[in-house]
Formats: sequence, structure tokens, C-alpha cells
Amino acid sequence: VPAEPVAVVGAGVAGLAAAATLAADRPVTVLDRLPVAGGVLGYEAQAVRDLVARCELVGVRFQLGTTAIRWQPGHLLAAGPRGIVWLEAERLAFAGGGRPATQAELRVAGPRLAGVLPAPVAIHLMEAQARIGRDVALLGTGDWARAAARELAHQGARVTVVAAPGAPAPDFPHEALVAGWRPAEVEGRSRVQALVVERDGVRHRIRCDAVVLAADARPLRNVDGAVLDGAPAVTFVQPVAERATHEWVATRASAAVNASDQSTMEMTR
Amino acid sequence: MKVTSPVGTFPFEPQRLELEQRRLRIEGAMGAWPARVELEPGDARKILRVLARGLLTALSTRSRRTT
Repeated sequence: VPAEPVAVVGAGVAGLAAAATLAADRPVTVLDRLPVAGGVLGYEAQAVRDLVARCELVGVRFQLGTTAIRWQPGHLLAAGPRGIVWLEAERLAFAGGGRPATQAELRVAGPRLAGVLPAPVAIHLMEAQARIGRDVALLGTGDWARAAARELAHQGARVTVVAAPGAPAPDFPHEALVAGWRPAEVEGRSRVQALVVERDGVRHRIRCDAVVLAADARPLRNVDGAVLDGAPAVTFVQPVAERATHEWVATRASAAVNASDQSTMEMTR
Repeated sequence: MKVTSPVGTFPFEPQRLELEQRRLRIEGAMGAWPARVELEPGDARKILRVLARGLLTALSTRSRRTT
């Protein structure tokens, strides 16, 4: 009896590692909307090259530049260079990456202002030598915040880190730390001029000309009918570092979504 | 060749060159995607301008170092 085929959505390190493991005893196809494997690390990273080589060695098939659209048990609808196809798969492993929570998801009030940027966008702009601000409020203390802080330091920006209650202390350079306060509101006319933080009903105003959102990681995207729909035979394999993500995921789709370690084990069983 | 964009860095592998109606077309692949770069006469002028500027900067830096 042939082992059940698995589709892995996401060709970043999590997806590649899951595919390499699973392909030991079943057919595995890896899909990614981008035309190369690697995800956020990029196709040139040595870890990515090694994982791709490992996948190829165990017979993993790749459908890159292909967007997974809809999951229904036994089939995955995907659109790519070969057109729109139904791919046969008994199980779906979703490794579609993470992103910081948006202003709305963080329940930060105020209009959509220039200068309020998700960390991945801010980092990309700074890598392209664009200056995002002189006084920057950086929400979060995790990987995105660390990477943003490094670029901000190169630009000579003054960084105020806002760490939510229970968040670890920042292990990167910063000018000021506002720990245990929740970001509540952004103020400004067309561009952000201040971030208001709140604790126990007390509000504090931090003057800034940019806010970098780097807190509370969320799944980057969904496959319709899969990750957020509690579908059976779907497993979330994206490694997530921040505790809030686990909580968010558990609340939204407890039946379908598991932490990476457990889920990979579950699928290999 | 590499293309860097906000969604990532991708390889561009040229596979065929075509000249059509004063347009240079480079057919190739960007990973799994078929891709094409088209150059018009105006683009060539822009590239030459950038190259000339770079060359002048390099030459002036060199002459300053040697004097």
C-alpha cells in the first residue's frame, strides 16, 4: 500500500526540513508562491542549499512559484507556471511563515499614519539605505526587533523599545526601554508623531517619528479551507518563537494547528 | 544575475537574446518563473549615463589618490 502523499506549503527552512523528514517513507511535494526555495533566508543561504540537497536526495518534488489556494481533503488547489491544478495529497503541512501583528491586531488605536511600519518592511527599506526615522518606537524584543534595531543603529536613530508585559528584555542596543506597557494609540496628522502606551489605566506618550511593529508573530497567510478552518489532516509546521503566537494559533484553530515539533512528529508517526 | 526586491532576492538566468523593433529582449528564468527583461533605446541611454557617472567618479578618486 503506497504511503499517503503529503503537500508541504512553504519552502523556507521549516517546510524544507519537514519535507526532508517526511519524504523518508511517503511522496512529498513542496510548494511555494516564490520561485525559489529559501523563504526569508533566501535561496543562497547555506542552510537552505543543504536542505534543498537533502530534499532532492530523498525524492521531494518541488512546485515553486506556485500558490496554494484551497485545501479540501485529498486535494490541494494550486496556481503556478503550469496553470491551475489539483494536487493529490492526503495531508497538508503548512509552513507559510510568520509576520508581526498589524496595528489593528495589536488594538493600537489611531489613523493609518506614515511612519508606522511592519518590521520586515522597515528592515528592507533600511537595507536599501532609506531612513525611516530619527526617534523610533520599536514594538517587540524578538528576532524582528533585533534585526530592525541593528539597522536603526547603523542609521544613528534613537530607539525606544516597547516591551509588552511578560516579554523578554531586549538583548540589542536601545536608548530607552518601556517594559510592561501596552501600545494603545498612535498620534499624528499625516505622519506619526507619538505612540501612546498604557498600563493599569495610566497612559504615557512617547514622542517618535516612526513606529516599527515587531511584536506578536502571526501566521503570514492561510490556505483557504486549511489552517484557520480546523480542517483535519492539516498541520502547522512553522516554528514560532514568541509565546503569543502559540496562544493566538491555539485560540483560532486548535484542532488544526500545532506547534512545529509536535506536528512534525505527529505526521511522521 | 540577481534581482532584489521587497519580497526577496531571486536569481535571473538569461537563456535567449532577441532584438525586435529596436528592443533588446532577454528571455530567461527567475527560479521557477519564466521571466523577461526588455531594454528600449531610452533605457540604454540611461544605463550609459549611469556607467559614465560611475566611471568619472572612479577616475577622479584615482587621480586624487595619485596626486
